[in-house]
Amino acid sequence: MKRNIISITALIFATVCLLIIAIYVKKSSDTDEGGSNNYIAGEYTQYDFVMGTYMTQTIYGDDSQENLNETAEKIASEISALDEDCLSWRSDTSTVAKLNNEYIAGENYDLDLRTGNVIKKALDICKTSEGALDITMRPLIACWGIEQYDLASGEEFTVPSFEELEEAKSHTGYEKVNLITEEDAGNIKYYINISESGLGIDLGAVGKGAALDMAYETLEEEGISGALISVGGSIMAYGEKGDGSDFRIGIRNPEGDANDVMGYVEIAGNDGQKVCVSTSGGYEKYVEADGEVYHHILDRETMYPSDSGLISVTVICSDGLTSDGLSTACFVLGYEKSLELLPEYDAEAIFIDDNHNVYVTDGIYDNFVLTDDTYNIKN
Amino acid sequence: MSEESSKKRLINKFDIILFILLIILGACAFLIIKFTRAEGKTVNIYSDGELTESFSLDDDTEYVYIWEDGNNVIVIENGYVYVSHADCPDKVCVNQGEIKNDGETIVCIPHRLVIEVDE
Ligand SMILES: [Zn+2]
Repeated sequence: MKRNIISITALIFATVCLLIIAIYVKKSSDTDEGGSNNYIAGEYTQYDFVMGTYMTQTIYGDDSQENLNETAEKIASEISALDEDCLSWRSDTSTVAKLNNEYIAGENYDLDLRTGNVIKKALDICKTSEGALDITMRPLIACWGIEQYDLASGEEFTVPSFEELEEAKSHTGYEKVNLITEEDAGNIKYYINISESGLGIDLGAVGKGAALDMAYETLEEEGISGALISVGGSIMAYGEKGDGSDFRIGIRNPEGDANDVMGYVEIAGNDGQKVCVSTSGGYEKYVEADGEVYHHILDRETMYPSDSGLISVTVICSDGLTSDGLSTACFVLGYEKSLELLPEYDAEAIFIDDNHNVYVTDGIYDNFVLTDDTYNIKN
Repeated sequence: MSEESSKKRLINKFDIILFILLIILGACAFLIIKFTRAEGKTVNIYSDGELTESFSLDDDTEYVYIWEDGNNVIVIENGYVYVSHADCPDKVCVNQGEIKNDGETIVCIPHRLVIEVDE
């Protein structure tokens, strides 16, 4: 008799428990579908198109969906403004476009603080990398026309002649750009002076990284606990994920499509800290002509798409602009020379060469996991 | 000795079997709930960042996405989604092929389109 009572009680108890679990699971899946955007408790994802590319933001936190959404919207509009008002050579109203169009050789021009900060950091990498990164490549990039080439037009791509390239190259050179910094009672004021006419500044190689640095400032201001933001090929892991797990950043297979990764880097969450990961590769934009492939990362030395034996370089460091600029510089420099450049900025890197060899610098070696066995880690 | 015999009376063989059965039943119910959730993968279509359409990945269908100056034909077939045709200049979306896993995306930057698989 006593046994039966215990059994029945247990059965009722178990049934009630199951019902509660079922209702809870159902409810949480209903709210998943009901939301107009991608919201799971403590995690909000948003897509935006900025800087001629697309941006994915995942923001973590116990805040309401509205608050997380507000922060994401703020970041997206600030980055658009950074591009349109300051950095883009395409936007007629930006500081850079106005400068490119109107400057007179040898004269000083005021720069707004944001543009000045970006040019200052970028010029530093230009110097340290001895021109492997060069922010004055606009005439040479325009001469090639790889970025504007429209496959749908049906027109064949024509490789520019040596004379055309020589002419374009003569209007490049970061050494001709002088940034003057004046400090007055703690206020910084920037002036720019370009010593020759016909040059054009192009911050395309550092803009996405600069966007991440700007997003970081907003995340700090808004008191966000964690975020993962990608703009084009540059990604920032900020703070901590809600569940305390590591950030996992996929390294794209340079020979595969956008969802195809060859490995990943694990980054432990760290309150208030950011880690930036930028990848440069020939796959981002290229054209084909007469059976040859021409990618968009040009080497000023040769005037041709860089041919350092690498098919992608991923640079990891705490600063967005630096990781972005260094990934381009290292792609042009090649593996050996990059090893001298990276320590100058406390940066780590993952190199992939055209023989599917992968080289990982010591500081990030233990965080890198290879998942595609057609690649071999060499060091 | 007397303690052990009293324990024996309170929980016998049948109780243990009953408890095991209950645990199995609970586990089965939980797995069924989990399984039915995982099956319901959706394909979300975002236009310029706004979610505009959602489809089930299990139902074969064709959807024409219309943007200001062009369109993309999105095909859901056999549990995969892909862009079969597009008149964007770079054709990156078409060349990206099929996706099916949670979190994977196809992006057409010229048409500000994101196709996402979501669990
Ligand atoms: Zn497309």
